[in-house]
Amino acid sequence: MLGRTLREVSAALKQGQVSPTELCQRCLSLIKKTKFLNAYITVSEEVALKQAEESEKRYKKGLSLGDLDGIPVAVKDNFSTAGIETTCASNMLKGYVPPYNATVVQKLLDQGALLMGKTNLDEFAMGSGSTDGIFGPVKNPWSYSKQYREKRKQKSHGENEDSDWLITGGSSGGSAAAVSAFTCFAALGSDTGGSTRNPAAHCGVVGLKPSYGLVSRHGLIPLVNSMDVPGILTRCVDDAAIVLGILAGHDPKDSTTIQDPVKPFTLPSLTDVSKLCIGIPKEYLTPELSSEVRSLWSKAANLFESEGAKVIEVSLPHTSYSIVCYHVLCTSEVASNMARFDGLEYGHRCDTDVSTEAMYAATRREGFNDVVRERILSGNFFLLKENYENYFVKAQKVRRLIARDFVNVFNSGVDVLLTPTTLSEAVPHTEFIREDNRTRSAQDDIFTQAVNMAGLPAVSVPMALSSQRLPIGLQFIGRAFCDQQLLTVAKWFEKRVQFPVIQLQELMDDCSSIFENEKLASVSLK
Amino acid sequence: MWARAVWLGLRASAGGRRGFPSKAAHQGSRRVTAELIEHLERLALVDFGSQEAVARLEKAIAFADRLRAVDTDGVEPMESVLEDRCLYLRSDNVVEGNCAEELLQNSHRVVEEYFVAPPGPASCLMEEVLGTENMREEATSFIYVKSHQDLGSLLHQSLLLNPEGPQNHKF
Repeated sequence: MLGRTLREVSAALKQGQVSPTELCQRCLSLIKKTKFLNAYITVSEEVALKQAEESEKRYKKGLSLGDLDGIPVAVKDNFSTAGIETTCASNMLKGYVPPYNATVVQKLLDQGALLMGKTNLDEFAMGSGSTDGIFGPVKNPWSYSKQYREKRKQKSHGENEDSDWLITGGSSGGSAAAVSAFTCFAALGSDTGGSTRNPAAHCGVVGLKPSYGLVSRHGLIPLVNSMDVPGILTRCVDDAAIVLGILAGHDPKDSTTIQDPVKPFTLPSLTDVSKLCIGIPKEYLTPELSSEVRSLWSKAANLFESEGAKVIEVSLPHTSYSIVCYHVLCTSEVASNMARFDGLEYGHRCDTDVSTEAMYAATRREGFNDVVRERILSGNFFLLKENYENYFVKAQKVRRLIARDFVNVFNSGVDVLLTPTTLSEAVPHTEFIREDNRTRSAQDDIFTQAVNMAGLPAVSVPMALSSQRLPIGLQFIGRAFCDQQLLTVAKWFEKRVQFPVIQLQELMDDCSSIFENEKLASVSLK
Repeated sequence: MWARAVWLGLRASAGGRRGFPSKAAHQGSRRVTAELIEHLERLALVDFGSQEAVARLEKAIAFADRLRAVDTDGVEPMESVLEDRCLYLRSDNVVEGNCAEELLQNSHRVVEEYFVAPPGPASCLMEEVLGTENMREEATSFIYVKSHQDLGSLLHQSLLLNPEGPQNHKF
């Protein structure tokens, strides 16, 4: 039941094959069994069970609220949830309980979804590995899959199977892991530079970044106001479309949401792609791209071509500057957004009370980790009077050039772009931490951040397993506000490639021994 | 077919400019001086914490310097991807509120309905001028400032550093 799609489970609930309470309990039990993944920061067991009870009453009366009624979901811990601790995986907000729900959370709850808990992330969503939060790193469920383990046994014997676990990618790693491990049917992430699509690719799930302005950011603790978007993680494209249909739409509390009317939609099952034009940006073919991802990318393009679609090479000339531009704009906006954390109205407050300056400085030193502090400092550097024109304004100009590149490509008749999502499959944690956060982000965000700068919709769809039997996903990029068309193409692709289901059965049976090991291993906190 | 063309194209230009910004070599990059460090720490109200952090800032700056290579003549800065649309205003009606108690609960120090801040730098000087017995012990919501030039500018600074929202960084 847990492996089914949203529609299937919704139908099962309506027909009484399973009850919301049963579903809830199964997910809660699985969350406990997979605790070592560290995907959840807070598990809202009581809340979820109560919601399940109410959902059950509705189903009994035949008054279900919709496709999401009674469906377990999870929310990344940088979305405000009323009455439930919201930490952003930071000491700054540890113990902070928001008095309101983020709009997207409220929309899910209004549809009867069951909130399983808040998922783990990089501190303040800064990072590409979900390794830099105060609650420790998130482990990729694929590290424990039968597929991966069998392959590893062939290569190495007698090694501690858990020492080389893989990262989930980030920063919405907890959400991706939660969905991948079947503990919920959908999860909210956030996407500023690829934070939803990156872990989706590494965890073998679908990661959707909607068009900027389509989904409300009210209640999403902001990182970069001009690029942040709530992201959706699900196990199939259809499910993502269902969730998007519920979340999209104007919100009076977020003035950057567009006012055009938005209706929930059903994705058509495309059979004829002959009128479709797929663009392949040549600048995305970089030397750093792993040969496996490159060959899958090529295979995907050939697939479209063989089925009658037009596949052409296109150019996004400013691609090589896009990550630099992103770096400047991101740190600048972050520097501004993080200024609100001063310990006065909410969040951590230090013990010093000598003067405001000393209090703010100490509070912020204690509350933020290195990554956050460095981005704030970098951002402040770029915003200095003497640097403002040369760095910040310059980056804003380059941003226009990048956005224009996309517009030009779409105006030339291309419907959807096809690119890799990540440079390679998920890497082991030990390898990942060899480089610092900023370097890693610069490397890992390469294919994803330009999309945020242009505000376009994009989705990562898992395609196939690598030679190591780890997921590799590809990214589709659509025109602004053509999310439905984008998802239609993605759905067609998903059906053709038939990505395998993760086999975690052994893990579930075996989990007690793994859990024991986890108790002994201490979580290292910075 | 298309893939081949791109792949061959890439191999032909191998050794040319990489599309990927690798660990950049410092090419006359700005050194971060002690003065700059102090200035940034003061503005940001976070500290670097270590020499490695300063080195990482230098790398970040060198990385950002690559933007100089882009020709942006005649290009307007882009602030929002929704710039072609109108930002609208809500009608000025009260639709929610009356939640002062809830909001105050999240703070570590409150007195009645006030958030309590420790005294700012101006008030330390005020103490000198007015004498301790004339100073309020608690929040500095009201600071009576005599027309004294230095005091005024210090107060100005103190107010600027009090973030009610994103700071104006154009100092």
